[in-house]
Amino acid sequence: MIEERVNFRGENDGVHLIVEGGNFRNILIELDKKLKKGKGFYDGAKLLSIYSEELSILEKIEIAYRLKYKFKFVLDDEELTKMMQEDKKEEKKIVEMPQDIYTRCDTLFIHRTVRSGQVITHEGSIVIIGDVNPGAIIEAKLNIIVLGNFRGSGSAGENDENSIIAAYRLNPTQLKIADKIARAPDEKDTDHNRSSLPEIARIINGKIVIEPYLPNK
Amino acid sequence: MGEKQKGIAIVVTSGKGGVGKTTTSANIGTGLALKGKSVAIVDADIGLRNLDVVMGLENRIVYDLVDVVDGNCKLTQALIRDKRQSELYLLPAAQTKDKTAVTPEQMLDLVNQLKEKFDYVIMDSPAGIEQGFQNSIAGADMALVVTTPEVSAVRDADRVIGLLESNEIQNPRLIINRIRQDMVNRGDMLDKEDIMDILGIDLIGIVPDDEAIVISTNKGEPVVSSGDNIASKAFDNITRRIMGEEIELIDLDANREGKMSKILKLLFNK
Repeated sequence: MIEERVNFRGENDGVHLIVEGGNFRNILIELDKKLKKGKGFYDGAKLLSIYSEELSILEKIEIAYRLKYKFKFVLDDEELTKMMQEDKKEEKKIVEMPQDIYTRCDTLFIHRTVRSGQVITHEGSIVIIGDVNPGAIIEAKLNIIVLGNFRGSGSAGENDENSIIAAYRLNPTQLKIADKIARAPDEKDTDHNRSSLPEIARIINGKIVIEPYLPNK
Repeated sequence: MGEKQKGIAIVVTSGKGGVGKTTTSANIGTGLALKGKSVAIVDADIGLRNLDVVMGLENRIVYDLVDVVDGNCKLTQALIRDKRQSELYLLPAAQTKDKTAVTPEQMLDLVNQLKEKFDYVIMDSPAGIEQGFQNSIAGADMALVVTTPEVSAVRDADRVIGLLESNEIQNPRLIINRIRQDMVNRGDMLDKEDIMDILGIDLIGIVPDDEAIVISTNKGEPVVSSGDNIASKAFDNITRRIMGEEIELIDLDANREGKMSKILKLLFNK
């Protein structure tokens, strides 16, 4: 019943991924199936391009990162950006597509609410112009900034203790910075004793500390 | 029926079970029929059908949705005409099959056929986000997300809104069901604002927790056709908003006003 197919085509310096069909969920399932079957075969393989008639840029980027982190493909950001631009069809799509998501340098901008069950993963920093709802997961190698209410789970600064997680309202389920984890207190937060300032979570003396953000600090 | 403009398909969904999808579907379908629209309600909950029970049409089922899809009967043979509204039809689910008996492509085809015949096609979605859900949203032009004022229901609604958006069903509308204003006033229940704050989509109606709904559901008569209680009024308002009217939300706050003024309000315009 599944019409989606994924195929790899090898070249001297890497592999191309060819995707048929447009159901993103099925594509991911097929991809997992394929890669689990040939376990380890593609480790360290360089991803050169993703060809698909139906996938959006965002979906391609998600697949690229999935290949990188889950299946150990090699891929760098520059390549990825180039890859997306070289695809002429995609270039047209950039113009047509609602500009809610775009990549610039190493920061990913998301211009919508991230909802339960949705995962946003990015190499660099992530800026979300919207809310992060409970059950959503944000994973950045560097910082996470949320111009809204952060109620989900966030993980920042994989190897960098100086990374921060900041939000206009910071009410996370769980926060992780580098190797430190903090969770929301079990008592329900009474809104009365909270400042209305934005808040920043960072590591101070080996612990995650949340402080109100003061511009002169 | 005959030649007419293509109808609108509306999916009623929630993620979580037991929040009132079926009751909402039956009432909105009936409400639209009461306004003179031709309506088909489709029970997409294959294997756990109960829309027929809520509408009191259980004993008239001969063919079901799976029979239509499999070509065992014509679509018109499976459609059951409502007892009270002559322009209201039910397409029942099969009880002996499961969700995999139908594919989203087959559902899309079915919904398109129904849209040729009816002004509105209401799809009653099953709980969950698996194939049954995918089937129910196939061909939907509009989505109504039902939630109750409970954290778990709101969480699931949020998940479903995300899935609707990624399936390109834009602007889902929210129905908050079973709200109890006395509990909200005591601070023991999520408020409308709390829910809206998380979900951030347009609210199309609030339905209070009303005994009348339980009674009517058990009787197999959608509450909206009784017309003399607050729940009926709430569903009537949702129906009118679907048809494009702009109506204010019902004021459920009984504590702030006396009982008398509430009754007066109900009797008159609001």
